[in-house]
Amino acid sequence: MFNDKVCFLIDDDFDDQELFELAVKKANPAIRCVFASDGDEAVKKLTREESFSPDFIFLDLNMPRMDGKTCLRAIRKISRLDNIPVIIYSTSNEVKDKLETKAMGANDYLEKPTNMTVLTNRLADIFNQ
Amino acid sequence: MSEHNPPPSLSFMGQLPEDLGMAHLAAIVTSSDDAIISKTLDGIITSWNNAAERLFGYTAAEAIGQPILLLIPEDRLQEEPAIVERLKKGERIDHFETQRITKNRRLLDISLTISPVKDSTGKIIGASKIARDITGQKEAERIIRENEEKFRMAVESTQLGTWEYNPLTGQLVWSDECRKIYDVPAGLPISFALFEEYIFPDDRLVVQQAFQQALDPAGNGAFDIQYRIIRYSDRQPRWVWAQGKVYFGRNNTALRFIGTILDITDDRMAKEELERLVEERTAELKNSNTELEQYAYIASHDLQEPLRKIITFTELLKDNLHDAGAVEKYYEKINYTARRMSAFIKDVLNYSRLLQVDTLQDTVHLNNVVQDVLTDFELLIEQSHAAVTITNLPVIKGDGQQLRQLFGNLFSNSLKFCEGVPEISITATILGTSDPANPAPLSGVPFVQIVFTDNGIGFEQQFAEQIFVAFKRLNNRQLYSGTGIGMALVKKIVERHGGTIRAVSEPGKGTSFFILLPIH
Repeated sequence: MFNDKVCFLIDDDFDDQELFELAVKKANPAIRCVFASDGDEAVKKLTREESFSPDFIFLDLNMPRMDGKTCLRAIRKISRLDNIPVIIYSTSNEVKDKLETKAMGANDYLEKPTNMTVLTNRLADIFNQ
Repeated sequence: MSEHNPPPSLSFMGQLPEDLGMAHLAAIVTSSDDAIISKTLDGIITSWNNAAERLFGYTAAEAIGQPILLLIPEDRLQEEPAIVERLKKGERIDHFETQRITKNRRLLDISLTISPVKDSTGKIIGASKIARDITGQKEAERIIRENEEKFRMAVESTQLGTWEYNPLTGQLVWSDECRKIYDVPAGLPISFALFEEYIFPDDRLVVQQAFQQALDPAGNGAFDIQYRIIRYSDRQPRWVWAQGKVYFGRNNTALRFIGTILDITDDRMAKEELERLVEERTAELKNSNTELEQYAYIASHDLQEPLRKIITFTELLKDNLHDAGAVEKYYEKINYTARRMSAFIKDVLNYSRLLQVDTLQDTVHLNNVVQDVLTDFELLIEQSHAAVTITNLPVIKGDGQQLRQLFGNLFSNSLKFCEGVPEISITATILGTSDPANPAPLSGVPFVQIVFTDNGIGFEQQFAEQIFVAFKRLNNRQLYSGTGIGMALVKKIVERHGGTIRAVSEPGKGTSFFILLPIH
């Protein structure tokens, strides 16, 4: 079952992509990571590739070209992704960002942690929900 | 009345009804509120009633037999011979307003009526004087006069015009100040039609409505309106403030409509100017608030990010000390991230310095500025085999260091966002004050248009505004280094020099920056 699971991370920071993938593998080795480097690239991929259907979407907020909030709005307009959880993955710990993204249809908010163990545990929780 | 000096017979006695006897007549004289005095033609007092005693302070015993000059102040002594002359001619003197002096030397304002007294043969033998104390009345008149004078001075000092409209006749009267406000020539007849004609057309209806409302007996008769007039002399619109009041008579008929008018153009202008200034300051404050919010965001996000990474990589380094490859990799990442953070802090500081307000008055030779920048980038230009062409640039007033930063950032940008051999050109065109491309021809300041063109990776035109926003990056930070502040700094520097900047770009074709700067 798990072999099919795909986690889509939209983040412009390659270091963060690498660290995220490390944590995902530790949390659940059966989950595969797919990346997009900004909102624009992600939305294009999700709208053009009908066959691409991730099980989790992790979304950074501060990105070039199309920021996370604009991207979230675009994702929530794609009906086939209605039941796919979108988790905000950001350095920002501002309440305003948390409330706004929740109102826009984000399912969870994961602040980028400084500790790999913390990140791994949080991801494991999300995957098990 | 003194017994030894009986009053002479009064000529009018013969006209009295028969039942009014001498005693009755004497009672009237005695009880009169007006002083009644008789005298001979030589001016000797022959009778003196109670009111005379009250008024002048002398008893009848003291006054009778004394010359009338007793009552006349020194500066009016010449009045008596003139009075006597007229009496001798049989003339009567009515309501002659003069001054007399009392026993205790107090000056009184009095109104005199003097009639000649004739004997039974018709010969004038003396005079009767009726003196009425008009000191109170005179005082009241003086107060009124003074108040009128004060009012006039007040009105003149406030440049308040007054007007009066007669609703019955339609006649309109303007004070001099009122005429000054309209600046009508002396002698020009004022009419209601003229008043209506010189109301600013857009305001005519509202003034007419206010006028009619004031004249409506159902209302309170008040008129209070600010509107524009057209000044007669130069046909310039002026703001005025008119106030008035309608007075109604019987049957609710409007009898008088009086009021004031004040030119408030300067006040209005000052108020509008103040409002404009407040708006401008508010906008500046909003801008500065937005910038402060950006800083707060940097503190919470942009500066947190590299720190978070450094901590994470340090942790990973510790976990992988046995793996030489991993140690090397994480060490490099920590080093790179720390350097980036340092550059970022430096740029934030530079940017914040540009928010300070100071005058930019140095004479800056832009040719020298660009040469300095080329020297800074010498190595990079050589390594990338970049081709740089520059036309002659003008001298402007500004801050040399900031302008060096401006061109430095543009060069750095062009060399950074280029995938082939960089080609950079800088051209300058002077825009005179009559040039249609001059952004502020009315200021009388010529501008220089500097076009900075490269053949770099470019961007989609829709991002042309975004590139100048601080901390917004169009490109992935790992692919292209930079802090996201460079172009925001460029824009800020241009704006601080009173200029504008815009970018025209196409992906893969390069970018042109059009910079307009005033040449002071």
